Amino acid sequence: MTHPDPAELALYAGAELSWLRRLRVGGHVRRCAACRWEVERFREARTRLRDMAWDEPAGLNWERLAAEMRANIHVGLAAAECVGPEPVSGRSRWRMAVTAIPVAALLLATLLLQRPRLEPRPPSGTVVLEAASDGIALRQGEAVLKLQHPSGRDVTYTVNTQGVLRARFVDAETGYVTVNLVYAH
Amino acid sequence: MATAAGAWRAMNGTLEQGVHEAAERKNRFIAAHLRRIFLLIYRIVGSVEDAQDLTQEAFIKALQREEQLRDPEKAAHWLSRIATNTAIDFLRRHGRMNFAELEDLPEPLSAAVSENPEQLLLRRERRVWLEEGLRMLTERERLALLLRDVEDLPPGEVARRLGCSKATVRSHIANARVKFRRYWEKCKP
Repeated sequence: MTHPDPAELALYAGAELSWLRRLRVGGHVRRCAACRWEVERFREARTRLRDMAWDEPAGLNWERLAAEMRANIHVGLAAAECVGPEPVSGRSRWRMAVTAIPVAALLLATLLLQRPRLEPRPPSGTVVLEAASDGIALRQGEAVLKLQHPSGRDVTYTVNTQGVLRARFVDAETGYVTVNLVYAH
Repeated sequence: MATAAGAWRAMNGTLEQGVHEAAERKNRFIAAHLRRIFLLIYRIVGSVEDAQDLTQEAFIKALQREEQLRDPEKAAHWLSRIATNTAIDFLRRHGRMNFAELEDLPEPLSAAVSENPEQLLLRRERRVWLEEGLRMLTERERLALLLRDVEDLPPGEVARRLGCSKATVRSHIANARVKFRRYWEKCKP
């Protein structure tokens, strides 16, 4: 009769063998007293180890050690709270939401106010004074009167509240400064 | 106004109660598992001082995730996993098992005076016997044996914790049992 090797019996004792191996080894163990005895010894050693592993090390004052560890754990947790990232609590989430809503509203209002608006077209009979790319133009319907400046000049336009449109540019060759003023009445 | 103040006091009271309950929960958790975790780590690393540090580290890691503590059974399993991993990391860093003699321990941790000298001697013999037996195993065999036969974890979970296959873990367990049994029969405590 071929006996299973000790490693296999050790695994059989702890029920770690696969289903098929367990069936075969189990069949043998039932018939073989020597292997049954081996399995029993493995189980006994296992129980012994389990019992003894929970013995406190001899000579150790467990109560003192446990008290020291408990204190150190509390200190460690307190230290971790101080240096770690602050957890976001339910209250903080509410506070963040309450702050975020007005900020979002403000941003939205700013965007709406800053949005470029299309100017309504003036009625066809109205005289319009405007700065064009090549000069100051006075427009009424299709008719245009334009005070031109040389193209490509760096022209600065200014408008004031009295209805004065001012165009200012410098002649690069002569250094003459030209200012055109158009008054709207 | 009085109603608002009352509501504020009630809310504060509820918060205080919540904080108190959380602290109580932590204390209960520590009390329930401290000894088990310390002894598990001690059997893995073999030194009281290292086991003390590692136990504290494991509890601090676990208690920082309070949401994991709500289910007591899962919390115990989770803590055990943290403790094993912490001990395994320690062994990887130090590459050894160091059974420090208890005589070398600082004074406060040495035995209580009230302990019976005979019991003390008996326990010391048992401890030496067990430690000698565990010392004969390789690190992997010892870990596999402790996790399977002492912690009673299924082989799959042992394999996960050791980072190897189930077949390898079975081989470690079998070798460890054979060696430990031979040792047990040769020099019974």
